[in-house]
Amino acid sequence: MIQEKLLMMRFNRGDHGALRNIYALYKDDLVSLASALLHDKTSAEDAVHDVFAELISKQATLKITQNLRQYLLTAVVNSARRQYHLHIKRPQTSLDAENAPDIETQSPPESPVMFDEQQRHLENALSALPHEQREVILLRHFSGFRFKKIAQMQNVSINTVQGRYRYGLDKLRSLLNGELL
Amino acid sequence: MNATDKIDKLIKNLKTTASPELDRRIDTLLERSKQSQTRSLNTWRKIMKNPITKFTAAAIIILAVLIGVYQITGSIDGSGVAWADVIRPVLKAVSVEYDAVIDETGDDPQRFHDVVVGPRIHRSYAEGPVQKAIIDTETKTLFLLVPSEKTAVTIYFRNLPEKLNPMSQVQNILLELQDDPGFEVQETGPETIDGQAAVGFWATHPQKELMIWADPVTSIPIRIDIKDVLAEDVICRNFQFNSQVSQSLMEMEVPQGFVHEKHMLDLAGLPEANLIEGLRFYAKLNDGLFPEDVSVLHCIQPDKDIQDRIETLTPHDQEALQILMQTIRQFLLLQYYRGPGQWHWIGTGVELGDANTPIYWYQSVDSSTYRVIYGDLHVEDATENELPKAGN
Repeated sequence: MIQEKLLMMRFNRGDHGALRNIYALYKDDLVSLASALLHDKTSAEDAVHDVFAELISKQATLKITQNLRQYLLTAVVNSARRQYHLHIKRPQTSLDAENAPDIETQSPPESPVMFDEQQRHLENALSALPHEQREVILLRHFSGFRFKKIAQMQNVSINTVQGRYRYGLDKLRSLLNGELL
Repeated sequence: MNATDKIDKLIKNLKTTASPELDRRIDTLLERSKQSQTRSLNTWRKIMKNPITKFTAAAIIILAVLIGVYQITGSIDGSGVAWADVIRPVLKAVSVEYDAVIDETGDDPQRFHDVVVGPRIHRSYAEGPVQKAIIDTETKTLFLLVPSEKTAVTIYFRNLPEKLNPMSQVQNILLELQDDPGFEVQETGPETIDGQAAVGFWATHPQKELMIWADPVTSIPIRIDIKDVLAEDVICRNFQFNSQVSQSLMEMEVPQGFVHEKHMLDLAGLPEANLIEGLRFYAKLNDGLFPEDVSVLHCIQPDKDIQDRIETLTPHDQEALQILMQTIRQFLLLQYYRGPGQWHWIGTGVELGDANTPIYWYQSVDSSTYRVIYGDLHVEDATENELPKAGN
């Protein structure tokens, strides 16, 4: 926490070294979130790369005032969303159980995205959710964001976010039932 | 554990390691940015090449850093027993030594070692033209040794603030600020700092922030990270309290074969006309715009464009350079010596020649009214009620 505050202050003052330390501190968190969102490590790393490229270009004028980790996670979610719409978007999977992907046969993404079986199952299941639902689930559970904040990020009402959350969670339960739950 | 809790746990444990390829890409981004970074202390080095201004510049920087460090160190306060234990050595110290570095992780870290005994400070520099500086706040004298030029410089300050004894200033402020409501100290718990076990305290004040780590057994401070000096990080380490300090260390002796220069530097505000000419000069260098701020950082690390233009100044521009120096000096002093007078910079982005927009107002110590400088550099008197509202 203190380290984060120090880094944020240094960043806000335009300290060049601060960004290197910020990257070192948060890179795995950010890549983990982006990978879970995009189910593709290359795109995930592109999303993280874009976030840092933007931070570097705006450092002279940008002042981060909120929690640094939350700021970065938010930036990665936005960047991942752009990646998703640009490169990955595909027809959304229906919520019907019969259309759900077979998580046993789903091919694993490139190594080392999946470093264990549990994570592979979970990421495959997450990838079966519509992007908006996946985003809500990950923002809620991985990033620890409140629904209100997620609603602002997605530019929808809290009710919509809560609906996406419920649907997403129900589907995850259904997909993971018997495997991880 | 229900299914939602299990999912929560699974998601929290998601872990994908960034690849070396991403590390390399980010590194490339940072390196490119580093090369084009606009801020650099080189401007001062360039100014210091100028025979007229260099020692004045050095004196101002040394003084600004010195006063900055002590002002900020002096903002420490706290009520917890552990915190009290940590500041006790500071309060009781007769002398203190420490290593310091400005902007350690930046492109151009500045390292020095300070020995502080009563009113005198001996500062030795790891690199750069000035090898050592001795500041005597009692006699208001600064002594610089520049071996590369076989030169010793003594600068006599006029109008240096009276309460500048470094040790007693720290100690007095520590005591005086006991009840400052804006001051907070948070214990951060045990940590390993510089390979050493430590307990940390995060101390904040509306204007200052610092992190202090102390030995968990002896409570002696082992490292202090100070924020806001020249807007750079200053890290002080390897503290030694009450060590035996040789008297000779504090002697301002000119080595044999060295030229001895003597200068007088008046720290009182410059005549208004000088400030106005300095502002005009700066704005002309800056495409007709006044500076964004008049902080110490901005004064000594102006934008790259300004740096580049300063570099193009020729010997014929000595007068102009002097004006710039005077303005910088004025701003530095205003930053640190507000005293009973008041001033505010409100000229960010204002164009030279804008007769309707105020850029700066100030009140002299002995005046009941104010002087307001406008973008075209005309000046008007104003009462308190007539002052511009915006300001820093």
